[in-house]
Amino acid sequence: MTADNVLWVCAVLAETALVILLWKKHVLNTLPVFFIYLCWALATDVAGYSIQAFYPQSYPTFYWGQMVIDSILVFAVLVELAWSVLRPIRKSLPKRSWIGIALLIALAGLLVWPIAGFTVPGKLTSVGTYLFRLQQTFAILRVVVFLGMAAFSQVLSIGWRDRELQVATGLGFYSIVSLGVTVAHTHQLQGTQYHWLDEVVMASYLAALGYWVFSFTTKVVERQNFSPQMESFLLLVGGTAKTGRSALGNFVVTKNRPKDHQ
Amino acid sequence: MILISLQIAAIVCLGVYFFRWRSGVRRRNAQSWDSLLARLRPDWSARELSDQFLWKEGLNATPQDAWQRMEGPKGLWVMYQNAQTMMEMADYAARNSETVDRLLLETLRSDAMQIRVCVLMALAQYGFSKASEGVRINAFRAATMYTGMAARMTQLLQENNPMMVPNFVAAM
Repeated sequence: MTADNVLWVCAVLAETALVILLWKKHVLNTLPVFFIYLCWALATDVAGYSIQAFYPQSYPTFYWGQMVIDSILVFAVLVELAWSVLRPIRKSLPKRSWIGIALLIALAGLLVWPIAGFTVPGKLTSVGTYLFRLQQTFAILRVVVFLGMAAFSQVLSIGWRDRELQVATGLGFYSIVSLGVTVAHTHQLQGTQYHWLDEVVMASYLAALGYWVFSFTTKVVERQNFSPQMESFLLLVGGTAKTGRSALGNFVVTKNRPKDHQ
Repeated sequence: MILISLQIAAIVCLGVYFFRWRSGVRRRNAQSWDSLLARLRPDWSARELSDQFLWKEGLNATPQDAWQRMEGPKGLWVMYQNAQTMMEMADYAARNSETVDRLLLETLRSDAMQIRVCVLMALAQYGFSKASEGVRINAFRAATMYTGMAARMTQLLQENNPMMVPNFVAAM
C-alpha cells in the first residue's frame, strides 16, 4: 500500500467519523455549511478514488468540476464562520450584514486572484494554469480571511465560542500548510519533491480532521459559577446602554439645533 | 533562494501569530469572574469628567472640557481596555449562565464595542489632527457611556457588597 493510499483511507475514515459525529451533535443547526462541506469532501474523496480506478480518462474532468465546487464551498464556509463569530453582536448589526461579509471576502478573493497569477509556473497547460491559480487564490484567501477575523475580533474584543474556535483552528492550520506548499510549488520543484509536498497537505488535512474528531468527542468545558450577584452586576452595567445613547442623542440634537435654524 | 526563504519566513510568522491568537482566545474563555474584575484598570480615573462620578450617570462637561479632563489619549486608552473587560464579562455570563437575559448581554456588548470603536476613531483622528472637533466628539461619546457604566458598578457594589465600595471608589 502506498503512502497516498494510506492517507486516503485514513482521510475517508476520519471524514466518515466526523460527519456522523457532527450529525449526532446537531452541528447542522449551528454550522450548516461546514457540515455540508465535510459531506462534500467525503463524497468526492470516495468518488475520486473510484473514478481514478475504473474510469481514469474521466478523472481530469471530475477533478476540475470538484475543485470549482470545492472552492465555492470553502468561500461559503468562510462567510458562515465570520457571521458565526459576529453572533454576540448580531442584534446591533443590520439583518443583511452577512451579504456585506460575503462581498468583502469576494472582494479580497478578487484582489488575490491577480497576485496568485504571478506565481503560476510557465510550463503548465491553460487548464492547468487556471486550476493552479484557483488553488493558490483560495490558499491565500483562506489565510487572509482567518487573519482578518482574528485581528478584527482582537481589536473589537469579540469572543469566540469553543466550537467556532475549534473549526477555525483546524481550517487555519490546514490553510497555512496549504499556503506554504503552494508557495513551494511556485518554485517549480519537480517530480517526487512536488508530490511529497502534496502529501504534506494531505497529512495536514488529516491532522485537522483528527483534531475535529477529538474536539467534537470531548465535552465542552464545564460551566463556572455565575451567581445572582454577578447577574445583577451585569444587569446594572448593561443598563447604561440606553442612558449613554440618550445622552449622546441629546448632545447631537443640541449641537445640531442651531444649524437647523440657519 | 532568498525569495523562497522570505516567503517561508512570512508563512511561519503567520503560523506563530495564529497560534498565539488561538492561545489568547482559549485563555480568555477560561478566565474566572474574579480575574476579570481584577483586570479593570484603576490607574486612570474618570472622576474629573463629572462632579458626581461613580454616583450619578452622565457628564457635566462639554466635549472640549471632557477631552482635557480625561488627559487625552491616556484616558481613552484606559476606557478602551476596561470596555474589553466588560465584553469579556458578558462572554463569561453567556458561557456560564442559561438564565441571564440575552438581550442585556447584547446591549452590554454593543455598549462596550461602541466605546472601543469611538476610542479607536478618536485615537486614529488624534494621530492625524491632534485634538480636533471630531476627536473630542468621539472621546465625549466614549466617556459618556463609560461614566454610566462606572456609576452603575458603584450602585451595584453598594447594594451587594458595600465593603468593597471604598476600594472600588479609590481604584476608579
